[in-house]
Amino acid sequence: MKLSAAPRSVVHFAACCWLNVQVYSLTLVLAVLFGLIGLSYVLLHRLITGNDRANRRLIRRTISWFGACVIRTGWPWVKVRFVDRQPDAKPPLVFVANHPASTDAFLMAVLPLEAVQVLNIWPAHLPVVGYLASIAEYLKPREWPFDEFLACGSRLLSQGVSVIAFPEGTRSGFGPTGNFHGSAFRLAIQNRTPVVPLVIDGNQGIPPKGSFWFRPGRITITKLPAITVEEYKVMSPYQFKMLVRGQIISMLASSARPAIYTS
Amino acid sequence: MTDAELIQAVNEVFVNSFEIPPENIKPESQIFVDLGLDSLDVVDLVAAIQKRFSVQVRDDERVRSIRTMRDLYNYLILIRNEQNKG
Repeated sequence: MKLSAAPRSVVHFAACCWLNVQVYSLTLVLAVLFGLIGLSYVLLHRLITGNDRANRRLIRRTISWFGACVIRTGWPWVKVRFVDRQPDAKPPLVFVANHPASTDAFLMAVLPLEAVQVLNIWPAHLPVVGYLASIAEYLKPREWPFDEFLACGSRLLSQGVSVIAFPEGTRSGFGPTGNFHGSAFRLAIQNRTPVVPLVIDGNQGIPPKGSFWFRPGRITITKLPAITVEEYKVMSPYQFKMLVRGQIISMLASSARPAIYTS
Repeated sequence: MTDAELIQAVNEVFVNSFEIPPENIKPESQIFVDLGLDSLDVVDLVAAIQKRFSVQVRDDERVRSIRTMRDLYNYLILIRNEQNKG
């Protein structure tokens, strides 16, 4: 039986309400669980081993596990698919992703490696997130002098820790992909590290920019083949970032489909 | 150097340093928004302009108000005129 437009919108609204209750309640439960168990374990590990490097790795892994759980809280209304075009890319890598929505940071949990993210100013000052980001050594180029960003990023890369950046600096939402800032590319160039473009698509409304209201949809994260040092060594940082931005925009255009629940 | 030659030379800096297609460089083009330069690229741009025109502009406060290519042309024309007077 086909529903007419009005009942369909009622069903859609009810589904959205259920989705939001489900996502926020499960996320709260996960935050408490990870907060109590995860951080206790991290603290205990620190006290017993005293190994700072192993402890940082554990903190980053715990954050990643938390993210991996959070991105599943919307199931079956929100589905996440990860497409890896080059599974054998060896870390450390510098990942560069477009930034459609605030859920992007959680979506990075699909990457099966140890990584830190490059943070904007405001997330770094959120009460719990800011603290966790700080102990996981997330990078804050908007707050630090560029040389300090390079030094911290280089140290992490030398330890085998990958770096994930959203060089638009702000969420693009349903709008076009914004201009890229070059700091992550300069970090990769300085450390002769391959750069991997990541294309996030489908979460423009999960949730929309300026809103906390989740909508159903399908999110696809596509990891493109790494751009090697040999490929980018003849480029300036500007050319390099424009190349990667172009690749991401092309990928988004090729996978363009009618937006689901965009209104 | 005439104004037209100076504008041509500025455009060449953008083409050579950043490989921006010449057709994208217009007087009304915003350096950050339309051409996609960021604060780090601007450091490279300033270095390239200082080298090309043999001027010191890094510490000049007027640089901060430059937004468009036209602003940049006008600023460099002003610098050239000041040098000619001096």
